[in-house]
Amino acid sequence: MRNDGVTIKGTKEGLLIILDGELDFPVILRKLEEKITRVENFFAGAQAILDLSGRLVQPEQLEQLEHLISSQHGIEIIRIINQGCLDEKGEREAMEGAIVEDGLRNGNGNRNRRVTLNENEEQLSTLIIKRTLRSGQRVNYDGNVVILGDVNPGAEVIASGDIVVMGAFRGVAHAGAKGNEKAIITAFSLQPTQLRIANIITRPPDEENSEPNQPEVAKIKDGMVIIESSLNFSN
Amino acid sequence: MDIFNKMFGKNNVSSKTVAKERLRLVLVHDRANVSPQLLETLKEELIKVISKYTEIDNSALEVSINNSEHSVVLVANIPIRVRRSMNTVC
Amino acid sequence: MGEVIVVTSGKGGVGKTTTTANLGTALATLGYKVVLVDTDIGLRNLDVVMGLENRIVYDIVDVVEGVCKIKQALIKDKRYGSLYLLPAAQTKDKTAINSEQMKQLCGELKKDFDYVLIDCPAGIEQGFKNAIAGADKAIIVATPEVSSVRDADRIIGLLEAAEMDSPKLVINRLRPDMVKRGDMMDIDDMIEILAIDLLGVVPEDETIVISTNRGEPAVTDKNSKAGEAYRNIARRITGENVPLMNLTIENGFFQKLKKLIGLRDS
Repeated sequence: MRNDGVTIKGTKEGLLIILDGELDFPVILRKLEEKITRVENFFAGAQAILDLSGRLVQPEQLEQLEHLISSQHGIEIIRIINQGCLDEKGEREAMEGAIVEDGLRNGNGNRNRRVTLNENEEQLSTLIIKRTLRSGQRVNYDGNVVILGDVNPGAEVIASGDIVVMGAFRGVAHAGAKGNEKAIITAFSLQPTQLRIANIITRPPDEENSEPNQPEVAKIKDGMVIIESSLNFSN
Repeated sequence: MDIFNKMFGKNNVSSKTVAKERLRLVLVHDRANVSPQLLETLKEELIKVISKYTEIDNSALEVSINNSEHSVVLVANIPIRVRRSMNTVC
Repeated sequence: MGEVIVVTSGKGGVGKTTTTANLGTALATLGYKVVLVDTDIGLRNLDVVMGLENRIVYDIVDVVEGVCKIKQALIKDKRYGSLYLLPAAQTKDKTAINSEQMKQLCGELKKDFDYVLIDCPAGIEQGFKNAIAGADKAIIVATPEVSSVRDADRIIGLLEAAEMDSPKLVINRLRPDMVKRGDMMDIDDMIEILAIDLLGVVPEDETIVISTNRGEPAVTDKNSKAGEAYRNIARRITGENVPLMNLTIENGFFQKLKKLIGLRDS
């Protein structure tokens, strides 16, 4: 497969537009436009799934993509896949299969919302990010977020479900962003700038400077966010 | 020679003086907003105009921006070729 | 109606943020109501220098986009009740705000505060244009280095073009020992070249690093030389006449010895 950052395939559901992680966003945007424009009439009116698994996309960038694909070229985006960085091809194919199935079962064109939330936590989808999030990077996901890496100060993770960090967490986390007070935030080393669960915003006390030496979990108990060792964690 | 210079302090210009001189020159160009290309164009047009009135040595012509006594000046050094005019003998 | 002062430099790393944090804190200790505005969107730092990074919920972009009210985004300082911070956004870029929005924002803040100090990003692009858009006055921070002075000169030119009232110079990170050796431009050299009024001189000082580590501006440290310099500058901003502090270094043993035996130290 020629890797120019943009791949367009046909699937049962419609077009599958895959954007890769290597190139800068403006380049990707231009390549996508070139590709769509080349076969404009063929694509117009089609339904498409936008796969952003290979890259982190900012909300503004997503708007630009939607504008280009839907408003300018009349392609309806029925769903957006954002499964974090899956570098092995096989793994990604498997993931695509799973999602397509899932999508068919739900059967509605509700883009960006694959699974209904809150009522049934079991059904929350999970975004896996295999990298460290750095200052200025932000992940906003409707579901659980698992990060295989650190989250540095100045980075933000917002999830409607739980946030699990397999590393040190030093940024801002917002779990249960849609109001789920049962959401938790856990990390191997929890040293957050700020923790938010549902509508409660907390910060570490000014005087405390000690680094935790064990995995911890933050959750709401009696209307307050508490942090405890995740070794004796029970939900 | 080095020792001689050192003894008489000729190489001993303080780095601050060097900094100041370099800054002056850089700022003269920055402030006048004159690029090398612009100077080159200016030079060509000067040659055109002056050649109308007198014969000049194009290759030796120099145009530069200098800093003199708190003001920025455009210096054009234009060597004029001595005219070999022939007097009519009457 | 308060005054909007932008702290700018052109070059990065010369101490704009440190200067903003310290002058703001010093003005607050003098009893004025002060707000610090971080316009370095995408590379915010004023929150960290002030030690307020974990209190941020809303930021300047949220305010101009109408996501929240100004009051909701203002963070009250943990030491001084009359000091506030309006943080920059970290996950956006400079184009998230335009000059017109910035002017409006400054106009609003001016109504409630005596001083609005704006921490300007490095560079001369959109971020700079935003930072100066609503400002009444400007403070130029420059270190005694060729690159910094050159950039300061460019900024002064741009401020003139924007018809900003005569900017004032803060010379930062001056090292009296190097000046004495002739290895650093001195105050007079810089004023001569830049031809603007001097507002103050801040010596290079380790306590700045320490205070930044702790998130407590150096002006709160009574023993900090830089802190003292910033306190003086703050008083000059309020119109008081404060003489420049003495920055000459105390003579070491060898210099004293030389004086004793009659050698002149040139």
